[in-house]
Amino acid sequence: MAYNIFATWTFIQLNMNKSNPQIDREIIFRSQNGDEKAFTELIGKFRISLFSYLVRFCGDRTQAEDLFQETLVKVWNYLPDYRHKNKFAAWLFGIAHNVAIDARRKKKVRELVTYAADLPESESSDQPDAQLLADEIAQIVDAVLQNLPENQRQVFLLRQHGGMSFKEIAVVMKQPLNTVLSHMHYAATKLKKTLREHHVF
Amino acid sequence: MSSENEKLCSDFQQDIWLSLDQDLSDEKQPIWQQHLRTCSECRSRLQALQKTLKVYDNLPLPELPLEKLQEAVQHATRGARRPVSIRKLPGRYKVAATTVALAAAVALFFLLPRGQNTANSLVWNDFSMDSSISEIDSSVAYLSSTDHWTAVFEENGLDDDFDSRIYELQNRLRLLEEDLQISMSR
Repeated sequence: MAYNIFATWTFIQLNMNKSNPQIDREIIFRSQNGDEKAFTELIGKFRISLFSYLVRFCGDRTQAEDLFQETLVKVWNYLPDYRHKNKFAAWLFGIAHNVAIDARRKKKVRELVTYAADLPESESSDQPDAQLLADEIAQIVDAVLQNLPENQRQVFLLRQHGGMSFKEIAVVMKQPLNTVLSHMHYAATKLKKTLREHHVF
Repeated sequence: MSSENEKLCSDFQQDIWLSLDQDLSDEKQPIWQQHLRTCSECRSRLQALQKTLKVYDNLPLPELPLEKLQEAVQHATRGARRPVSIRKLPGRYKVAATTVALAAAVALFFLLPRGQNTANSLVWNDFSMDSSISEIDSSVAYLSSTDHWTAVFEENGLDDDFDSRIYELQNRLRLLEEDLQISMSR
């Protein structure tokens, strides 16, 4: 009984902020048919989740704006290919994933920075750091994400921002489900370890 | 801890995420429920990961200003879309596109001059065949994107049996090709 309550609560908590807005099929149809107003409405539903996914992926707001625009160009262009039996969010984030990966490949950016150097100094006190502002925690999280291996970061971000199931992520990333689950586990474990070191919880 | 328990704990690390997404198989669900009741370590790991994600989910999200969204949409919709393949049209346009293509193929079949004159007036090879099919395909995609055709097919309640219509279209085109080859050999 206790476990059931815990599991339910955990599920609700973990899915509370996942981006999976209800999409009216008619909006997609109209967008596919070239209706720009419908397209604006459609993309507007993902404005925050898609942009935050790209910011967290590349760690740079300006570059994320460029990637957002590039993603929209591809989405608009490939929208007639979208099949309604698939979840739109998964299709959209699949495109964003490819755009982000391509951009990184083009720039040949290698993640050589050690995240420890980028992190704010950890407090030596054992007291929970209640003063640590959300922005500082975000900075810590960003540093961890930027220093994760690319596959781990992608799985983590697609799951947290794209509201995708692991099976959907496995399809988008063309990797076996177990590999995707391992990536998620390593990413979350690394984040957990760092947040604990900074007394976030 | 027994080696059997150790293996269970290790396996749980893999399945922990499917468990959180309620995506476990019916066979595994009761196994992990039972394991979590008895294994405080796995329970503790699960709770720590759940707290981690909760912290992450509560972080302020970087927002794209509305004007930037408008700008991006305008930029995206400014250019013409690439040509659409008949196979990739939205579901309700497929019937329209396929039927128009069929009509075009049949019309071509009946309207083209036949016999010796045909062989003399047409240079029919693989390249020109592909190119003609491609032209028909593009024209059909354009025609099917108009509201007129959509309305006609919706009014008639035609089902979206796209594959069978494509198959039929391919057969018609094959017959057309055979006929032209016969004409050329005369």
